[in-house]
Amino acid sequence: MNYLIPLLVVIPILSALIVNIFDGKDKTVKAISLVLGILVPIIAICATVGVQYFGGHNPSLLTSSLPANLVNTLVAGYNTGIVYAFANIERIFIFLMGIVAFLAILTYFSEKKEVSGPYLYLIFMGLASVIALLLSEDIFNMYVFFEITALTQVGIIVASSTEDNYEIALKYLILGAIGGPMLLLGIGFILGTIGSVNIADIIFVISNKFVQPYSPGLVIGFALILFGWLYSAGLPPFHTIKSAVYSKARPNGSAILQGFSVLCMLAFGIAMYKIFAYIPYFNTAIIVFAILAMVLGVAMSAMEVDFRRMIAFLAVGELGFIALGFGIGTQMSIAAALFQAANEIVITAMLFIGFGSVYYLTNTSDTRKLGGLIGIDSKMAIMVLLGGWALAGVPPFNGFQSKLMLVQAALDAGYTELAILAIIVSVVIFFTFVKAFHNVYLQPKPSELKFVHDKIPKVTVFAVAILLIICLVLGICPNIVTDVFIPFAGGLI
Amino acid sequence: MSFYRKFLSSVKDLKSNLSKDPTTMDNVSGAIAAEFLIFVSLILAALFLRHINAIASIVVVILAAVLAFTNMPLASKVKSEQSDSLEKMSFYIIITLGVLVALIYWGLKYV
Repeated sequence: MNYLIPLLVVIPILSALIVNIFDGKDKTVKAISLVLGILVPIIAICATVGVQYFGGHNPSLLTSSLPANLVNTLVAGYNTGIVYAFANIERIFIFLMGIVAFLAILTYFSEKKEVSGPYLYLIFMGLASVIALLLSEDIFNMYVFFEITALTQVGIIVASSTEDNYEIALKYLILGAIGGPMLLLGIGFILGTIGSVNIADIIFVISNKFVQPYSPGLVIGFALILFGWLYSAGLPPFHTIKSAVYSKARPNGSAILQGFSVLCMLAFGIAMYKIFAYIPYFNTAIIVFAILAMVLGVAMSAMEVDFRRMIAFLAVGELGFIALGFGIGTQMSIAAALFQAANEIVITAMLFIGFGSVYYLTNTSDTRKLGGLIGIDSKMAIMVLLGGWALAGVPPFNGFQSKLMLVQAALDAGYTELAILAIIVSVVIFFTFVKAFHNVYLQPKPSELKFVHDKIPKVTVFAVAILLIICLVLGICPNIVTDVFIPFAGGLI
Repeated sequence: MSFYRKFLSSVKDLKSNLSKDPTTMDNVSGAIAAEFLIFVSLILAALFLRHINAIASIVVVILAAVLAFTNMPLASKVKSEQSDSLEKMSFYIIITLGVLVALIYWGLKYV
């Protein structure tokens, strides 16, 4: 038994409960949050690769104790309990998400004198849910944790006290009332057809033709789960509400929310790939939504004047790159998609926190009302610029490595037009970012611009610096993660 | 030259359609970048169809190019459809669900 695997979920849940209980005692809440928050990435590093059978339901050990009528039947090998699998790929994503969450919490403490227990509760519950989502080998369990994630996302927006946040939270709930139940219905169809919700069991049953691979239950299940995946990730047609959600949270909340979306997308994307990759035009369907996300997300961001919404749309556009890698469906493209996902968690968080410092200083995110902020903190301005370059795929940052890998994979697979599209979209991302940077930092300061704070907290600068260092390290030494992603992608196809 | 004039007038339309706020170099440059991105991606997406059927791809590329040129500016039209309006968002979500289920369920009957 590797008890550190369930602890990856238990510790954030415990943290959520404790900080909520101690709401009002700021020092205690801060201390508990920081100690328990840093534990998640530490455990992710220390935990050994393994499988956790909850309740001891290891099917290989249970075979001897089965009733006689079940021995040597199909169901004898089924996993009867929830299974968590922890491998190096989970280690990387949980570590990065843990670091982003920790730095976002740190930034929150530096920018707010009075901390909110319920707000931190939502952050920790969301973190626990996405970690469970990544670890779980059971699609129903994944759905349950995804719903908890979605609710915490709504909670984080509501708790953010920004303009129109209640309206966007309500819209997200309403649209989630379409996406969530469809995902559950799809899982229900799979359960009805296969008799299990464990991914390994489902693959075993389909690959050994114990059910017809194109039976109506499986086909409808695939369609609905694909739709649910679009909802969980924020791919079109859910990209508008997802970008609104990011832009209505506090910058540190947005940094965490986009990480949640990337992990939800990955968890369901990998599960879908394992189960349904045999379906004809599976890859084409994913590519269609990837192109839509890239083009709509980036085109909308190019026309945006609110920098928070602009980064939110860029985040959606970047999700398109991840989906494109999955859609191309080769070992290198899937590895590139995973690398891109790891990069997006870090880069977008850095931009939300970095650009968020402008919102902290001026209480506005309208680029038409901003200007001259390079004079306030030039170090932060340069780091934000470098972050934007990383997002656009400028060397030597991590975004360059993952996008280059993706373009090469598209060319190798014979999808020249997708490679060209990926490059064009990256160019527009660069243009969009430089335009926003010029407006916020370089153009003359408008006379009517008022400051609500004099300077950016040092902790915020520190958080952005740490994230930038991660970007640089992953850009210079991409094999730290690609050595894990490439073999994993090979096993997936 | 007629294509050029068509493009020029579409940029003028874009300026007026884009927003009621004073139009600046920034938002026009953003809108033009978006316009080019949408146009190019439409053609490239149509070209992607060559992996399914080459002849269909040629027909769709020509159709997409003609439709895109005759309906410029595309960016402002796309932007108006991507608003935070609950009605528009629900509409596209329901349409996507319907198309996905119909295509996958009935499409795979012929596999």
